[in-house]
Amino acid sequence: MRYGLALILYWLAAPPCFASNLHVVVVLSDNTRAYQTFATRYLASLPPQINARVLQSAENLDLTDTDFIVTVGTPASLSIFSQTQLPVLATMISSQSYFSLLKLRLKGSQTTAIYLDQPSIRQIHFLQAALPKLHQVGLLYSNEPAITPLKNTFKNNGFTVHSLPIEKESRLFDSLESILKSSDLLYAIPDAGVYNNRTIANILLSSYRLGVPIVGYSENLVKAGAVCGLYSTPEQLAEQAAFLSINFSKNKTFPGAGYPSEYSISINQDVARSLGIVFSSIEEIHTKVEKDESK
Amino acid sequence: MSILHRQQYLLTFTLSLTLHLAYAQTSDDSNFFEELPIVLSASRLSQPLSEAPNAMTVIDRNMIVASGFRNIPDLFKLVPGMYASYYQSSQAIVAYHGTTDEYARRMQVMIDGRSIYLSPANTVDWANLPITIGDIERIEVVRGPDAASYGANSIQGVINIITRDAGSLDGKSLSVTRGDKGINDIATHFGKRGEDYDYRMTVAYTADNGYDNLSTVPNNLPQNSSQLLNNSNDSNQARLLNYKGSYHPEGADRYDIGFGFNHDILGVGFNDKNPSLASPFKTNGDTMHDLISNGSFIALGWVRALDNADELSLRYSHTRLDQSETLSVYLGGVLFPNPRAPLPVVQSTQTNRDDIELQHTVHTSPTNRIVYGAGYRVEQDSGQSTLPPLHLNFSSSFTTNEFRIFAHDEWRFSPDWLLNGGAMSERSRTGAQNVSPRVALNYHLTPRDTFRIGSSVAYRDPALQETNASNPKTQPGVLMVMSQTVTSPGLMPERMLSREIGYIRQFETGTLDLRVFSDQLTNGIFLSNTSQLLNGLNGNYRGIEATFKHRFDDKNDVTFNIAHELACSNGAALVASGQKVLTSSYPLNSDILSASTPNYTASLLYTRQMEHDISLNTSYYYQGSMQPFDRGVLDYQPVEHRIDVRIAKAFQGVYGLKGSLALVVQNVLNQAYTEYIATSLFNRRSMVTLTLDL
Repeated sequence: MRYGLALILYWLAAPPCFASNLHVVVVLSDNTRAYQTFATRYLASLPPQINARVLQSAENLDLTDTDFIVTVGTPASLSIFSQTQLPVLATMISSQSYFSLLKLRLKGSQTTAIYLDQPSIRQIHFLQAALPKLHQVGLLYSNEPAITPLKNTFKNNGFTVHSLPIEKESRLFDSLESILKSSDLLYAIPDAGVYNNRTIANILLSSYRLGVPIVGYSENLVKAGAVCGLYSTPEQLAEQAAFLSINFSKNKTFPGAGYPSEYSISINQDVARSLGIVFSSIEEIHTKVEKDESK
Repeated sequence: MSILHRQQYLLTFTLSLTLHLAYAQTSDDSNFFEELPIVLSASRLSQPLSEAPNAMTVIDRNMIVASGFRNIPDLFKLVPGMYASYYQSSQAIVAYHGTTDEYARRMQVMIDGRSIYLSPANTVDWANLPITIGDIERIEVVRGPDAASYGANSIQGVINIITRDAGSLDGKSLSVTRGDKGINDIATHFGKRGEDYDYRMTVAYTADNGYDNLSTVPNNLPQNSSQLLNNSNDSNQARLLNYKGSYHPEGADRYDIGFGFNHDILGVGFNDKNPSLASPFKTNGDTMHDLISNGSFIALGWVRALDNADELSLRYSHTRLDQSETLSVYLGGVLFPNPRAPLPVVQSTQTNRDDIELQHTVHTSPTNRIVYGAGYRVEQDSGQSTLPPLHLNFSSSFTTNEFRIFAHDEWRFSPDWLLNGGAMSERSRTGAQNVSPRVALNYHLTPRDTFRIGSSVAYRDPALQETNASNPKTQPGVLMVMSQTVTSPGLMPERMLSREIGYIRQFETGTLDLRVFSDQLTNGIFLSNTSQLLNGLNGNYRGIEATFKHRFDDKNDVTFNIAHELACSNGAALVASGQKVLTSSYPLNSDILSASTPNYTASLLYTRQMEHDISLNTSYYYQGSMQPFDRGVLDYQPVEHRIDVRIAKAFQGVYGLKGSLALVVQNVLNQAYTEYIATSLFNRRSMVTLTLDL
């Protein structure tokens, strides 16, 4: 929303400040619907002075007359990072993946990113605003190093963390039941070793049976049965990417990589009601998160 | 290989390894937008009390374990105002609002949405359920009529038993119970959660010897009631299995399958009417013998999750119950079979039911949800009776069908108001067309305080046993072979009009659920002087019910239920008009309906978790005095007090084993009380259960 307004103002008031036509190549990882949605919204958000063409994959890459590249999704970044020294704006990539791939980038190349994941402190503020009475947080993970900063953030903000590693998917449900018995919410993280299409039905059913709500990391997880979640949509990420692209056309530089500025909150009211959880309105939660974040 | 080549090779290898590792670490990014099936859809979510259109009691798994009960019908002692008693050991009677007769048939009972009310009596054979108490996830009991959702037979309430999900168990467990009264149970539960298919299965054997043979007369009855002595033949043995599977491939569809079987041998009959020296010419058509039952079912379901949390479901079930009995009878003091007439009485019945239902749940807006659908049922009932002493053979066979359509709307027209309205239209097996509407308004005064006001109309279609009485009228044994011709023509459905006001308060540490109600029965069916069944019994039930749950801390909680109920009817007026059958057996109350309704019932369940994985559960049950509706004064039930205690210790690592050991003592103070009949004297009994997770 914020970027949508900014983009309109740019369109109306500032055509002279654009340099001559800028050429952008948008490289998608594949034809996943989320990537397509991103590309559509990104193109729609650009002013006419920025010419963008969308490539459905990094194959047969032609970067002639290109000013910078927007990679959409981690596989696209993986392919592009080592191929060109052109500036790259990586999108729809998690912070963890971005740091892993950054070492592949050729020296001196200008690179930035809008992460896909949310900053831990924002998620903490979200839990405090949405479920203020729940402090026993359950965490399941398959990647220990990735989870440590999140655990520390929880602990530093008054939460008690109950966590268990999942070394084998076959042991998932023993750990899950143990965690659910000691936690009053299960905080799901985007870890394919734990949460995936094969496991999600039984995770949601087990947690529901024990009356423990799951806080999700995506809109689809909230629809599937998580009680609530905070995430950025492809549209929001695309608008932020368009904003950075317009800035690049003026300054020829990108800011440092960062988390999404815009995000959405959703609540599965059917699940909430069934579990006896009463939420404030989404607007109230959103306002409180923003207020806490600005402190 | 030259040094240069080796360096190039090493560089290439390192780069590709780095890329591979990097990609491996980043593959989780797709999780953010991964399409996921809607798992917690409408059919899987239980409705919170404050949102429900009627009063509801939920008995969850923790309560089931804490109660220490071994028999499923006993669990209903935890429902305010409900009557759970026994004709003989395993012939349970579960009733509500004074329908305390052998064929309590005014409540609908379902297992996973499959009605287990069966013809010809339209009652539930609790001894024949193909599930153990350990298979139950929770029980939702609707207190009050709910024909709008559940159709005929639910004019006083609905019991919805929900068994554990197919994916609720990943592994094996073995449970062995030994106790007084020949209690000897063994059950194995095993299950597997798979990527796209989950299943669980139970194989069990349960046995007991029923109640003790009485050696003294109970309830301070006069000694001429010595017919109660040594008159108990109520052992029970059940061998059962059940299976529940769920196939949930990636995507929106879920396919469920369930089947079960129960082979039951139940001791029935009495010897008090056998000829004796004092009365050598007595007739006893129900001597002690075994009733053999084979019950089975198969249930298939398809559920499709649609956009916007909508859902489409199609369910089919087939239920079958075959019963048979072979018995001796005394006819005018002569025992049959005998050397001159060597054939015994043999009777058998078969009931088959097929039921299919399609249901669509659709959200027309974020604040409005509609559930509508249709169902069709075909039922076949047949029976054969061979009565050599009378040189008679009888048989009959019926095929009936029922059709229903229903629709409900749940409209949250403001954040604080919820309006529920709906109706079911049924064409019953007798051809009657009944429309059962319901409307309820819930108002959330605060997020913690909810008021509910509701009214509904429900009908109960006459049972086959009521329209077509058994043939002959004094049929021996316990099975009923119905007359092929209608014996009570013109019998109409019973009608119940229910009105209630409820209040639900959610505390930080518990809930209070309170309601006052008035249920008005008209066209009630009763047995007339001519043995024909007639409409005309009218009654009114008024009362107050409350459930209070309180959690003292993480380790201590209590549930308390109480009900106060007053019933009145035109029973006395019908008696005055000549219908002597409705004469109240209890001399101090001439209203048969009022006398059969205990004025007060209460229960309390306290749970305490202690150190060293020890848990202590104590429960108390109270039932005011009452006269069972269709029994004589001999079976008058005085006030009942009962305290049960369960103490359990969970263990892990003892000889590498994990499990628990539990001791249950029922009626620990041995305040013996009689159940539905005076020969069923419930005295202290104890049992030990060892459970191993394998």
